[in-house]
Amino acid sequence: MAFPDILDARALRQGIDGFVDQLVIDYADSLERLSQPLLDFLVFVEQLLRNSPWYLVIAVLATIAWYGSRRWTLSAGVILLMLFIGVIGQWDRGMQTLALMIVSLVMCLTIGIPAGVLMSLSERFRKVLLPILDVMQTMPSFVYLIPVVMLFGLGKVPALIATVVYAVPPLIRLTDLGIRLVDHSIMEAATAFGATKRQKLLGVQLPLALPNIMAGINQTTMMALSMVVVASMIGARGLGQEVLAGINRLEVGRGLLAGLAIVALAIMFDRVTQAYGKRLQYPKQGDK
Amino acid sequence: MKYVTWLGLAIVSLIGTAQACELDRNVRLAGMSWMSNLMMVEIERAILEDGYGCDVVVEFGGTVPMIAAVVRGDVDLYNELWIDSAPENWLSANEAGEVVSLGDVYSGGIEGWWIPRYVADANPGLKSVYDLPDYKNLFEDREQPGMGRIYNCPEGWVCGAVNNNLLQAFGLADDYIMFSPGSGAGLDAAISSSYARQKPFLTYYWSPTAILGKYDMVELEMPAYTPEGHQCNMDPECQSPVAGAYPKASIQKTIPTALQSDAPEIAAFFAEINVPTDQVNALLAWADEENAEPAQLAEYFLANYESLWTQWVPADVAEKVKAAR
Repeated sequence: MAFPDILDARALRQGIDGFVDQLVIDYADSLERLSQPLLDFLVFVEQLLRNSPWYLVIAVLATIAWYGSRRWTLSAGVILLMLFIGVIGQWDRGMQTLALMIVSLVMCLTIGIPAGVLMSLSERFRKVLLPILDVMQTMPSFVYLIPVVMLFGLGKVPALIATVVYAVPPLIRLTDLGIRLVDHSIMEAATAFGATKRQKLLGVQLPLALPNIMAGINQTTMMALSMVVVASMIGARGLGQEVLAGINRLEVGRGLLAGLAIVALAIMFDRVTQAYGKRLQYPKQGDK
Repeated sequence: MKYVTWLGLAIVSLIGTAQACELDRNVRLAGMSWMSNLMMVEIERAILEDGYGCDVVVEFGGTVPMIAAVVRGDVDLYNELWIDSAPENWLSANEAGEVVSLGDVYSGGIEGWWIPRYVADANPGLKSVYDLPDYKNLFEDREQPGMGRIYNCPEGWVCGAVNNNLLQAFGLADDYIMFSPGSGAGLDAAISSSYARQKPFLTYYWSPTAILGKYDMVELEMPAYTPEGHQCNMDPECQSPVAGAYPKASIQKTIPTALQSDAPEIAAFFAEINVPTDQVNALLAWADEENAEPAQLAEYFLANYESLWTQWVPADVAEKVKAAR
């Protein structure tokens, strides 16, 4: 049975459209200017990755993997995965995607960890933020992508924003969880020793929450990578663009190779962050 | 008394058969997401339901799956096939006699590079694509300072290869980036945002579309179209791109060939459907202005363009459609 017309849905839609149009006219110019430093940073990282010799990039990534895990097998795995991306002809696009990943990860960290800490400290902030996080994780991304394109122009900046919106919630949630899970007796001991709030947070809570935070970073990275194709629909270059072209032209091979390169990047990010998280959790087993 | 009832029933069933659809199943139309296609689908749905007594379903999907569906015979009508860039699977099915084209749905598709009227008025020197190098700062790409940005067509479309080749052929490759907007929605968002703020932009676009109906845009001049040149330009690997305009594209309706024998009247109706491109643009602009749903747009069309659509169907069908309004 049809639901009675209580609100005029068409008027509501038109109202929202008009509001967005007005927003574009009033703020798009200033938002474009404000986002310029972000764009410069992203362009810088991308140029750095694309213009460096490939073996140097692989060597740096393998070194990072070794520092994260202290396992040479993982470094070897990273080298193999990166070589695989190069061999299937996706190196340049892979670097473009990697640049977007790195910058969005930096943004997720700078937003996500402080937000998670605040959430664990203030019950009221937590109550406000939780439904916002739900919206960020479930709202179909195209719904907010188009307004973001209208406000920031087509290209890297809206792609970055969309990626961060989608990918940051797990980091916030797991940072909050990690701090809340710190044992009460430990906190009492810290209080008994006369630690200030700040000392408790930085010296006790955050270090003990690190394994959970690392799990959050891991999840955030995975989700950011899964946004690559969506980001390419608003003009981000890289592997997603190739997948999209493959879909639109019904060229399965083109889509599959780029898709495999995305998977390779994902496995690499996943294993390195997980290994680092494990090492934080059980320092004696993995270390030395 | 009983006889009268029987007589009544007989008459009712007679009328029923007179209105019965040629197909004992649903008529399935390919519903691609953009407005011109949705408008045609809703017009066809109204005429098929009210005039031919058919049940109509619209199958929603993108161009690639829908062309595949018409080739397999899963949909009965696909409205907008750009015949010059028809995909391989349609061409081979056409050769094998499995699908057939029913001629133009619009009077012709227009493709080209466009600038808004306010940019053309402010820069009277910018008339042709060969004037573009002097204006690259006007259209500067934020992501690549020093280069101009031309919005290309959505990723993976044939026009993307043509535009990339034209960029070479016009000698613009050192001054301009052929920027892929990814999706049609992204491209439209960028255009309407720039237009609302009266910002300069340069874009590939095509007609019939709501964008060209709604916004006052000026097409940049290009050298004349040559068939061989365009053939090469459509190939991403074209060795020596040719400086020449797009042809006036033929946009055609296509159906599975079997429909012509299964439902000759419906197929004949499909063959007659044709709306001139400038009227399509005007209709789309009306829908955009009024925020109308495709079905509302179809009603608007049926009410105001009667002299056009009544030519598509026999007089008795036209009467039934009118009577149902």
